[in-house]
Amino acid sequence: MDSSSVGVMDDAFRQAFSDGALSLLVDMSRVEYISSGGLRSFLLGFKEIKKKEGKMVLCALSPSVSKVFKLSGFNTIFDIVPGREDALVKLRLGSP
Amino acid sequence: MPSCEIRCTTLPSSIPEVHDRIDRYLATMDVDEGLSSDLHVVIDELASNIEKYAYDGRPGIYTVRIRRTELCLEIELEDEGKEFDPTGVEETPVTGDVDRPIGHLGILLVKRIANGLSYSRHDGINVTAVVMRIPYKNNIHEGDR
Repeated sequence: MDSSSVGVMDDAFRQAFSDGALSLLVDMSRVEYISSGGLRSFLLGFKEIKKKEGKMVLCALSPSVSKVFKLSGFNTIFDIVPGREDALVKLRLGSP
Repeated sequence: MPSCEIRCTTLPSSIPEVHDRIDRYLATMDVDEGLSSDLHVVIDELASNIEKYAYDGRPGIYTVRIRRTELCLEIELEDEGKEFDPTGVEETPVTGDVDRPIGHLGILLVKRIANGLSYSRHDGINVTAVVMRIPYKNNIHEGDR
């Protein structure tokens, strides 16, 4: 996810919120790398869902994507779990 | 050692072509997959900065050069925009406080991913140089340590 593709993520968040989504599971398994534009898109999505008192869980981060989340400090903001099942459990439980 | 030179515009539509050229270049050598992702991030960040700051958001031309040495990738980005020294900006690290403004996140990533970042300006040309160490393919990925 780079500066040329970040608009796709922005649009996906916009669509989810306009559909009234309050629980978001973001499966990152097909994201090979992420740059700061992608991180900012996630941050905006996170702020929006917080405002709506909803929840967002990210799963299946590749080692490279995980590294960028750690280096940027974004791992301290987001709920990140290994797989889809873990994410579904988190969302069902509604734990912080 | 093989090298690669890509001359492109700062238009976002040219970014996929740049990444494609980088992938083709890296395919010619035996490097770790993590290094490839790191290189994409570094070049994307530096190219975005050229577009935003050196050319003030207007379309401009820049050149990416990548050269492999025995232990490193040496990357240079050149542009003819106004003077912009990415090493001089102050990044604001992200904390748990999401409402705190984030400054120069891209440069923060470049500094933390790369093993060296330098800047020079000669005859109206900005040259940003980055060094990235090449891990052996069977090494543990840096991000997993």
